[in-house]
This record gives sequence, C-alpha cells and structure tokens, in this order.
Amino acid sequence: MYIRLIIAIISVISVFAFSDSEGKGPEVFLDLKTAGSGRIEVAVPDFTVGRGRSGAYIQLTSTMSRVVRADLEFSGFFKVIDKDGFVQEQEREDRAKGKTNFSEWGALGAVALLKGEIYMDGGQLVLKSELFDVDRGKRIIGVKYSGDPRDYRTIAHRLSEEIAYRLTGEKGVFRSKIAFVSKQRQNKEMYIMDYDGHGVYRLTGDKSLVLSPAWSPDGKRIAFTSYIDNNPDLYIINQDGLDRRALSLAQGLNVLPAWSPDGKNIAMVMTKDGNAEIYLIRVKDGKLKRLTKNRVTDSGPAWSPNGKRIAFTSSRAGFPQIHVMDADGKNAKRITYLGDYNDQASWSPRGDRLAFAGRRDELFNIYTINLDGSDLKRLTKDAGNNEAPAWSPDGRHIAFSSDRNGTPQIYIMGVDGSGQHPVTKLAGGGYSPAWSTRLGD
Amino acid sequence: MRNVVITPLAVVLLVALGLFLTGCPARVSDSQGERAASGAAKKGGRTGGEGQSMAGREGGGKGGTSESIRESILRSERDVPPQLSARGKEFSPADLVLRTINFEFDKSALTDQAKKTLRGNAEWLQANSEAEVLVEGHADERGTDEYNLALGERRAMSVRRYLIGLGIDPVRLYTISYGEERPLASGHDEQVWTKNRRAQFQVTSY
Repeated sequence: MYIRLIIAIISVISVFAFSDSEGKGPEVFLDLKTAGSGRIEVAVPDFTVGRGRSGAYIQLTSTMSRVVRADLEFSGFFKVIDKDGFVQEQEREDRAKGKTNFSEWGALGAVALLKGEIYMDGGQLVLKSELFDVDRGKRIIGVKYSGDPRDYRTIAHRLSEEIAYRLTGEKGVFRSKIAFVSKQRQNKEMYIMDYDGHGVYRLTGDKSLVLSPAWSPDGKRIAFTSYIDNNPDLYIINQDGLDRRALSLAQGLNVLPAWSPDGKNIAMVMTKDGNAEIYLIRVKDGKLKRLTKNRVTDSGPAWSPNGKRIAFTSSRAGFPQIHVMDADGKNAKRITYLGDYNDQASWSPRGDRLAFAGRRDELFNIYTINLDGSDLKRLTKDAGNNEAPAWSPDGRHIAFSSDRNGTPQIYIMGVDGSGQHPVTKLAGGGYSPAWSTRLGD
Repeated sequence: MRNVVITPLAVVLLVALGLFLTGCPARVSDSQGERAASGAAKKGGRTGGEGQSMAGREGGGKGGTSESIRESILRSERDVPPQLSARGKEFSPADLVLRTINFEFDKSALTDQAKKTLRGNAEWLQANSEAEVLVEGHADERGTDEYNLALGERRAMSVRRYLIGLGIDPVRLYTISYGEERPLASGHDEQVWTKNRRAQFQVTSY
C-alpha cells in the first residue's frame, strides 16, 4: 500500500467583489438574520458544471456541494436548509431563467445562498462560487479556487472556510487533520485523516507498536512513540511522511509527547531514572530537562496554550488524578478530586478548561473542568468507554475514542457533548486522536 | 545459529526493498528493513545532541557500558543499576524455560507466588549464563493505554530488581513495557484480566 503524498496546492485565482485588503480584517456580515438557534440559514444547491465546459467531472458537483454543506452544518454557525427537493428545484428554475429569484429563496427560509460551478481548466479543477445576501438580493462575495482534481474535497473545504470567515469571522477547522492510531493485527500504526474522516492515509509501516501522535503547533510535524527498535522511543516525522528521525532513545519509556506552543520543546514521559517522570526535550538538539521528581508515576503532559503551565496525571494522591504545574515543574496543584482514576488531560485552545477521561464503575467517560476545579461537566454517558479527548483547534469540538459500538473508533462531539458521531469506521479501530491546527496557506 | 542463516536473506531483502522503495515516501517494508532504516535515522538524529538525551543512562551495546554499571553497583548496593538498551537485539519467546508471573490489580509488587516462580527462573538463568533476558511488563485493559505503559514498566523493573537480588548479573536483564497493548488473553472479565497482568520473558540464543 502506497501513501499518496497529499500536497494540496490550491491557488486562489481571484477573490472578487467585496474582497478586503490585507490587514483590514474580515468583513463580517453578522447582521444577517439568524435562525432561532442563532444559526445562519443557508441554502447550498448542488454545484453545476460551468457553462460550455466538459462534463467529465459532473459527479463532483453534488459531492463537493455535499462537503460544503457538511462543513457549514458542523461548524455550528449555520443551518443548512435541508428541504432538498425544493432547493434543487429552485436552482433549476434560476438557471433556466438565467436569474436568481431571491424572494423564492427567501420563502424557502434562506438568509444566505451559496451557488457554485466547477469546470476543468488546463488539468486543474476550478470551483467558482458566489455567496448572496438573500434579503438584500446582493452578492456578498465571489471566489474561485483551483487545484488537483484529486484534492476536490480540500478545494470544497477551502470554500467552506471562506464562507465561514466572511459570515462569522472564524475560519473553522475544515482544513484541519486528525492523526490517530489504528491496529493492523497485533500491531498499531499511525494514520492521518481530514477532520471529517475522509482521506485516511497511513504514515508508518513499523509493523510494531506506534503510539500517541502529537502535532507540532505549526501542523508540519508529528511526534510519536514507536517500538520498532525493541524500546518505546520517541520519533518525529513530517506530516507528509518524510524526514523521520529519532529524538529520544533512552532506555525505558519515551512516550506521550506534547509540543510546547512555541514548538521548541516537547514534554514527555520517561522512565530512565527509575519511574515515570515528565521531562522536556529540546527539539533541535535533544537537550533534556527533568520536570517532576517523586516516587510515583507522573504521566500525560499537556501544555497550556500560552506555554506557561503543563497539565499532567500523577498518582501522588495514591491514584491517578489531573494536576497542573508551571512549565518549569514548580507549583504542582491537584485539579480533579472526583473519582479514583482521571487521566489524559487536554488543554482547551482558549486556555480556560481541561478535558480528560475519568473512570467510574469500570467505564471511562469524557469530562471537562475549569482550572480551579470548578464546573465539572460530563460529556459522554451510557455509551461504552470514551477516552483520549483532543480539542479541535478552535476549541468548539472534541475528538475522542469510543468503543460504544464494539471496536474503539474516533468520534467527534461539540464541547457541550452534542452531536456525538463517529468519523472512523475502520476494521483496526481508532485510538489516540490528535487534532492539528488549521492547515493550508 | 538461526541468525547466521537468516542474515544473508535479510540483506537480499533489504537491497530488494531499497530498490523497491526508491522514490516512494511510504515506509513499507518488513521489520528487518525498518530496523536498519530507523537505525540510520537515529544516527542522523544523534549528531546534534550527542551526550544529551540519548547518552544518559543507556549504552549503545555491552562494550564500555558494563564497567560503568559495575561501578555504580559498587557505589551503592541499594540502588538498582541503570538499564541497558535492548535495541538491536533479537529475543525469542522463553515460555518453555522461564515462567510468566502475574500481578495484583494496579500493583507492581511481587506476590509470594511470583517470587517463587522467579527463583525458579533465576536458577535457569544461573545455569545458562550466556542467555540475556528481556523482561516484558504488561497490564490488563482497565486503565488508560497511557497510564498502563508506566504500570507495565514498573512491573518489569520490579522483576528485574528481584532477579538482581538473586544474583543475576544486571547486564543480562533488559526490560520493556507494553502496557495493555499485548494481551495474552482476550475478553473483559476478571479471569482474562488476571492473565494479562503479567511479566513474561524472552531470551537471546544461549
């Protein structure tokens, strides 16, 4: 099995109409009427094949519009109008008349309307799209993207990103990726996929145990542990699968890497000095600094977004509990008190909360908690074991691994626990998700 | 002996794979090839940071390291001597000669039964003084994957400490933790968990 090198080169041919200049910031149209849920109601009819162009990629018209609809719906900012038959019918009527009938779109409940056409140009797939303010009957933006036809999903995600940005001021996570681990017989290998579960590809072929991937803050590299050489050693690899190198080869554990927000250090767990302790290793030269020192297990480091503190798991209370310490290892403070087994802390991108997995009655579930230990929220319930929470880069969603339907798979939910849905359905399952920053230009 | 037979084959395989993989970014090969490849990667990785993380306690091989280990034993009888790296070594399952021991839930302390078994294992090790041993620490599935790595490590270390106490040369004793990743039995009940909370052994040719 080959890994297809995915270098999505999508050029923005032009952004016309209301395109704003650098530094001016987005022109956000929050004065659009929103649905009761606070969501912007948008109609996205199937894209069409560009006038007088080849129909070779006609099947992509519905696929790409479906990608955009799913993106917008996922973001939580939009309600995609799902009266599918009527949306398509109105689109056909508009095209037949060569004119957009805004009052009809308004009658369907649309506040915003997104139309698109695709065609091939010199081997490139082009997506040209316009977003309309239905009430005013005005075009808000027109954009055009092109790229390798095989990257049609990424091109569609690029459009979603622009729409979200223009209407909400946030670009969303449509071009982020999730690294995770999946089994191949007894072994585990590392994989990467788009945030929506598409485009899965394998990054390691160690035929050994590969564990706990962690993205560098810039999304270019991944740190992970592999047993390929008879010891759980720490490696770094580019997200395209190139330039793998070993970073930490000490005897014993070199596991659970977490990049500092400036990308210069990795916090990890090592046992070279006798029991599991947290160390910092400098990425450029492997220089080590020990952060914890006691007789019990310290594990699972997670950085605060400002790089000043580290959450971790420690058994200093007799059983695993979440603690927080300064980045130099000082001022350790216990955060969780409920339950006798809390682990896998993950710090929210906004810095205000920790997600973790806690065990009660033999089952793990995902919780979030404030840094002072207040406002504990349980996000999963009555659905098997739920472990390994990982925040989306915008802090609006959490990926995790759940065995609710048998083999553990990667799921995603809102930070309030809403909309829990599987994003992998792999024979080898899905473990240890790590969510990248937004990738791309 | 087995290794001598296999080596030329592995070389041929490696060359073939090397040709096959030229220009292909995927790391697809058998474990022999991967081991060689990652060894090369390591050398690259080390150049900038010699004498830092990688040096520390681990030795590249038996060469100069055993002396410093003996020194450290002399320095402090109570301290468990530092570990050697098992990387690059070939171990084979030792079920027939070295018996697996089990642990109590979430514990790394040795039970009386485990100590008895280890004394039997130690006798074999004394009679076969060429054999080097890899002690694997394992956990049952009930904790998190992450935390169980540390638990497995503690179990392997506690076995190593005990064997050293029985007079086995520390340089013959390697450890590795598999956490809950390599269960012996599958299932989700106490019987299965008991089997999986274990330390088991592999040996080099002797």
